[in-house]
Amino acid sequence: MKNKKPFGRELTRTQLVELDACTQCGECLKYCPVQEVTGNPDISPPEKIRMFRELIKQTNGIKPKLFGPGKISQKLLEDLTKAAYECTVCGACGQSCPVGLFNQRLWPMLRKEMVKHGLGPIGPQADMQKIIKETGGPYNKPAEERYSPWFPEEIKVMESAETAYYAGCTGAYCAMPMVKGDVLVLAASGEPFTMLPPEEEVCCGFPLFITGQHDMLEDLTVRLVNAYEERGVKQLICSCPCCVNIMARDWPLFYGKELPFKIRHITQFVDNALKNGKLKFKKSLKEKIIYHDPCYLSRGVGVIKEPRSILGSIPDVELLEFDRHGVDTRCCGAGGAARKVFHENAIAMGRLTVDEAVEKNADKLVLSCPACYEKVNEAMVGHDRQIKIVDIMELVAELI
Amino acid sequence: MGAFLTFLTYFACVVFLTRFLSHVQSWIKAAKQPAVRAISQRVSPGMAAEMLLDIVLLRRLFRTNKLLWIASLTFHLSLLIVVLRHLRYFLYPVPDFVLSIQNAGVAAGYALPLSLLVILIIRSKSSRDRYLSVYNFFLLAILLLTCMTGILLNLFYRTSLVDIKAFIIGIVTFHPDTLPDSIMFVMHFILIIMLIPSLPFHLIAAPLITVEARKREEELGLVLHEK
Repeated sequence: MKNKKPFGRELTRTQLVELDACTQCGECLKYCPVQEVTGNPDISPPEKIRMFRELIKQTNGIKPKLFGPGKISQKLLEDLTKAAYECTVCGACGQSCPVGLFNQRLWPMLRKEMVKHGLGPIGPQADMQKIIKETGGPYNKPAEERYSPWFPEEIKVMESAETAYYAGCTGAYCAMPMVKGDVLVLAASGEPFTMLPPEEEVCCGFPLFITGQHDMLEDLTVRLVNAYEERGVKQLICSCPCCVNIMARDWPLFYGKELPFKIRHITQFVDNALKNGKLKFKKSLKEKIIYHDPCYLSRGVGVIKEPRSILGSIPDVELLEFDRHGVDTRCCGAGGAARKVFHENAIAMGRLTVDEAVEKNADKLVLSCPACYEKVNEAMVGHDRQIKIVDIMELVAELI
Repeated sequence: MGAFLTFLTYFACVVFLTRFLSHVQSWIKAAKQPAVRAISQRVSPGMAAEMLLDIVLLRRLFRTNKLLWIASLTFHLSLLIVVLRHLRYFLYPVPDFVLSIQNAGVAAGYALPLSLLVILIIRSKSSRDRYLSVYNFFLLAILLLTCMTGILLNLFYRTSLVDIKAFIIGIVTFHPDTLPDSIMFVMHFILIIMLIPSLPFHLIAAPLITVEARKREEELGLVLHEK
């Protein structure tokens, strides 16, 4: 294949240096969840970097500048596409990298390159942009079903308030007990909060960002930011780590300036409310519980202490830890929109999480991510090991 | 033969410099794009010290693989000492510090291939991360052979220091001199010529990214938290 468009144009300077900085030592393979379930080094992080370097060399190096773009093998393009999209973009490889590559950020930009060159997105991911345009979210569900199946009737939502709650698409359509728990806890804290009408609460952009489809991101961001600003919002609370991640890290770039409100994860708000007495646990829980850190909450935005502080303050509870926790957490398999294409990998990774929780004799596995919630529940179907899965806010709502 | 090796040396250096400048140019070009960073913190003296220690002591590797860390640190340290020791062939008069590390340089010359062997064994024996790129294997092999020929030169094939120095300084000053009459030296030298154009860019890029990683880790707590 003759490819005239040079590769490497979508990367920042730091990311180009990162490609050169990879020593190909292979240490990251020990921490890669995809490697754990596939054992295939051809789709490993250093291989992705090697293949991508090769494409840059063929299209953007000295040789193509002097003699024109070289011939790129179809196999190389196919291998890189598979490697780029089979990844869950959890960032564990970067976390364990002896050099310190920021892979949680590098891989999505690599996927952006793939999209620009017509190599991605793959499978059902390819319809996402069209679906979001038509329905506001990536799940092809009507906007009117966004809140109605789970939103408790008794909870009052303000027309405008300083605090706003963003449910997020995955929570609203695929992890309803989680978002229901969110609003029950918010209401119990006595904090007046507002929400956008279902047709206005569009996708935050994360599924598009993570699959490399960046065309709509600015539009989605501006729509959401303006809508919240009109409601006088000063802090936007969300429970989905992926939404929170893109809101805090990327919305200011797409919006073109600092956001007119703060972004907070719900565990930050609840931890604060528990500490200043606005919320109190009325029931105890005589159980061993284990908390799984979502990759985009811990490695992504550094929310690690708050969920533990909340869970640790439940009377009588015993809080356990996974071997890999905090910034070193292991992906549950739901990340990077890879679950939409490589379903079996996702299930196998989810089962690893379940297995470790069971081995540690936990009574409950506590999650705080709608994608984890959906996928780990799915991984339990037909699995020989079973454990009660609960979202952190679902649990808090039961005990306050 | 001497003229041919001299030409090859210049050619190897030109290839390396061209590769290097091309990479740097691509980095500079990309500087036009905004850095993806939600928070930008000033580097405090404390953070700068941490960054330096991260680079010098390979602290990130220590966190992930202690055995590989020992081997890598030994490799880097002994390579540095060996390179410094070799300055006596390039400089006239030879600085005192180069003279003072000659014995340490010989010891480092033995530690270097041992550490490379350990790295190779760790890489090939490790069950889950059995990953060794062709390029890395090539580099490790060239380095190992260079070490071996260097040791043989030191132990059994002693070559006139004056001849070697005249040849090397001739290349450096663009006044080529006669090649020393030693097959082992020629082999050692050819291996170094092969190594020059293949030098990996992570030598320069990796420390830059390690600095970035430290900054990013310090900033992580500020993405959603007040200072």
